[in-house]
Amino acid sequence: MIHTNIYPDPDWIVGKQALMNVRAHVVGGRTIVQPSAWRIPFQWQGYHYQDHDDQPFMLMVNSGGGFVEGDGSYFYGSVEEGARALFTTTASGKFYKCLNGMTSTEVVEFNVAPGATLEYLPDEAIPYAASRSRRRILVNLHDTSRMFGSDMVSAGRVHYGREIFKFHAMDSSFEIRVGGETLAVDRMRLDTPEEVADLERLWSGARHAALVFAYAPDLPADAEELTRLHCADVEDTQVGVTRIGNLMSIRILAYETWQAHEAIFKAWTALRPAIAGKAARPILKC
Amino acid sequence: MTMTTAITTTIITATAMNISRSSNFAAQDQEKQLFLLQVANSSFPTGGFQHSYGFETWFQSGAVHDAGTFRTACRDWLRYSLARSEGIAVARACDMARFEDFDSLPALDRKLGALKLSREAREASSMTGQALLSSYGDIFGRPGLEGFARQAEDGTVAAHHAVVFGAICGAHDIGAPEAVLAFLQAAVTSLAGVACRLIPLGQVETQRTITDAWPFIQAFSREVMELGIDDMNTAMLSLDVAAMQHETLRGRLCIC
Repeated sequence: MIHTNIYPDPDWIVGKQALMNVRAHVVGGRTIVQPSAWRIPFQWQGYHYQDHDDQPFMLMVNSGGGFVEGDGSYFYGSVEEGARALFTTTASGKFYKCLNGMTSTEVVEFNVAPGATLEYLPDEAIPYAASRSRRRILVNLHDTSRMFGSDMVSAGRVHYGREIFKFHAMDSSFEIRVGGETLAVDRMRLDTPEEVADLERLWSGARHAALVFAYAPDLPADAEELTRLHCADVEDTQVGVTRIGNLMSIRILAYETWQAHEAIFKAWTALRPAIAGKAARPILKC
Repeated sequence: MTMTTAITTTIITATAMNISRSSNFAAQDQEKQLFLLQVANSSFPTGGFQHSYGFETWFQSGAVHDAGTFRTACRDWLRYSLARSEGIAVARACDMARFEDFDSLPALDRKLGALKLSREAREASSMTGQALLSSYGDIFGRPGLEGFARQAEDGTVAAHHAVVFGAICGAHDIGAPEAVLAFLQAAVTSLAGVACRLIPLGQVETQRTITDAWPFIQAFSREVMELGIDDMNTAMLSLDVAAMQHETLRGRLCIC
């Protein structure tokens, strides 16, 4: 068993720091998800078998709806040997303005056992004007684990008064470790509003940036080419695909939210058969 | 010997000693400068002159097509990619080698490599780093870096260019600020050389682009002195896409 119980810090303020700690493991031929600890505003609302097979889809529900002034959310998930589970969110993660200059924190950490499969497809993070955020996504894999995971950050509420790159600071990372060794890390840090404003150029005019990491010990030789083909025709979207050993990275820059979602879905369409042994499908958020 | 003669003799001897000591210091400083000028020069065999850091994709697509667009993109790369990943790695590797903490180099090397998501970017960084380490060994020996070089040879470390550059500077007792300044200047010069050939730019225009980058090189080399390994990051995501797309680019001339 790789699961470790993680409990809320006794010094945390109720409603200010959220925690969810779950364990996915096989019982009677299908994977079930059990919460070992949670604290509001995270809510436990069970899971569904959307593919009508052994794999649960769990929606990570943060009923607070967003982060403000030093809020923190901590999600820890373990996927035990031979289990497979998909984790998603009910909606985008909103980082509200922090007029007192405090930084909000989002931590998501998965431990994936030998032969286990993790699919992690959250909605985007939206940093509002004057927000300050620190995001850490970490996936610990065994070299026989399988994973498809995405992370997406938007420029802000882009259709709300052109609130684009108006947040004040962001430090965001998405890290993949295999056997305890960091294989890849996507880290972006902007410390001032002036640096944030430069993202307009650094993202080549795109409003949404996403990254997909996909890992499997037996990723097919044509996985890169297949992904490029699938992602090639999403309009106003730039996609870069690369592979180092058994890890594929897909970088997406899109003008509209739906275009970034579409590119992620197309990458999932290309790779899910190899990673999870079945076709991609639209995820029901209820 | 009169008192006056004795004092005069003492003064002359002391002055001579000081001149000799300061000459020694000057000679040592000059040797460090000469070393830095040599290893940072594009003629030092590393293969770096073939490295476009992904820019070749933009040169081909026309996204970077003249001195103006190159200057802006180069400045962003310098600030949001090069300084905050390789620049920090140079500084920390230099400190590690200066204080003979060679065992920490592999962890730094892995951390820098993990930030390079594009396969070609990661391979190019390792290829030029190994070439630098090999040439350095052939010319200067490898005082203190034998273990790291062995690990590079047997493939347990990638030996990324920035880490090797910082380490060899540290091994020659060059300070981190000087090493970072030389590294950033060399990288900008190398990229400008590629831009000169591929955009193309005129030679004077190319040199002007490098000179225009001086204030930024100075500012960012100071900035990274305050930053540690855990601060390494890159926010220039469009260049990441360009580096990934470079893998399938037609008629390419650069290694990345």
